[in-house]
Amino acid sequence: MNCKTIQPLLSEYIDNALSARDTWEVDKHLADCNGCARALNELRMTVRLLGERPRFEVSADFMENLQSRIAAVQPEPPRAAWLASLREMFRPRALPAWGAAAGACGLALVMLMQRVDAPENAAAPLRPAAPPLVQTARNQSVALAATNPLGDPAAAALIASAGPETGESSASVQ
Amino acid sequence: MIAVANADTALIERCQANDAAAFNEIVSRYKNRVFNYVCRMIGPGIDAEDLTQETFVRAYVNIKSFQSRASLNTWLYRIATNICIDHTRKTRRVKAFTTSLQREDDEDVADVARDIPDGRFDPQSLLLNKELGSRLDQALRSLPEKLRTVVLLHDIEGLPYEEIAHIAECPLGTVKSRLYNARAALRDKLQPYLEGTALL
Repeated sequence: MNCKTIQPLLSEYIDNALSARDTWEVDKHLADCNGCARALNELRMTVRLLGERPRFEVSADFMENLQSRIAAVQPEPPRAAWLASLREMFRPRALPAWGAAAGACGLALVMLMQRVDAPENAAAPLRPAAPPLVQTARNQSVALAATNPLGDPAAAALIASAGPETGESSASVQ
Repeated sequence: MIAVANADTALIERCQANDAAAFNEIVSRYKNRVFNYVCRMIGPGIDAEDLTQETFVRAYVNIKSFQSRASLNTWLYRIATNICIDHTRKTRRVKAFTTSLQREDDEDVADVARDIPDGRFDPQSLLLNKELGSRLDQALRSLPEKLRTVVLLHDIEGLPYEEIAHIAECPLGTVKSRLYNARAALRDKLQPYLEGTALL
């Protein structure tokens, strides 16, 4: 472990909250790193100063004032357990998690709908490119079919081989 | 610890059975703890006592819905935390809490820094130094609410990580990272006074 990974562990190290392995890693690193040892010392000092701050105490008339405030209110009847759970679930602070989940579902739905609605050619670039010769033939066939569906040479050959009564029509289409 | 929890449970059951004396006992037991926490959260003064009273009023109103999934201690701190955060947002006192500890940015602070005697490197003197305490209080109030809540509950109120996670409504890992960030931020702000200091 290096200094960057050790320093975030120093807080838990001070509280003896690290696993045995992490404690060993920190100890090993501290033995060789003066910078982290100094950081640990300063962090310990900070924690100690915090613990030694004087404590505040309420004024003498605190209870009296509280009694007069409490006299103006009544305890609410107990809420049903399921109602309490429901309230807890929809507490404002819990909403971001629900919002993120709803957002993810919405995004997935939109992407799904786009795939369904997408035109055929939208997926064309994903197909493997056809060889040039095949591609040229396909383009010609498509262009021909678009201008004159009966002008397909293969169809004309079939018509010609079918008999003389259809030959006229096949000649006319060419 | 278990004895305290059992005593609290008994008190809550009496409160839920409309025993006013039991609620008074809860207040007597927790008023200074909650008040100290509120003072550290928003700064000492009339507002702090008012918000502490508000904490107990809300507890009284909702005592019948209290379920012993959490300890009474945790529940009261949670109410107090929500009240303090609401208060801070409403009154927009954040500006007053963002006093910089940069000496060049703050004349008063610069004077204070000069007034600290050379004995600042003596840990005993340092710990007893009122001005340093004042600096620490300022630094605490300049922390973002989430960091302040965690460091106060752990390092001043002495609560374990698990209870803080319940109060702050966040995962255990988040409590640990917030605690490290808070302590590191405080250390950085007190850096000039901590440098070269050795622990007793």
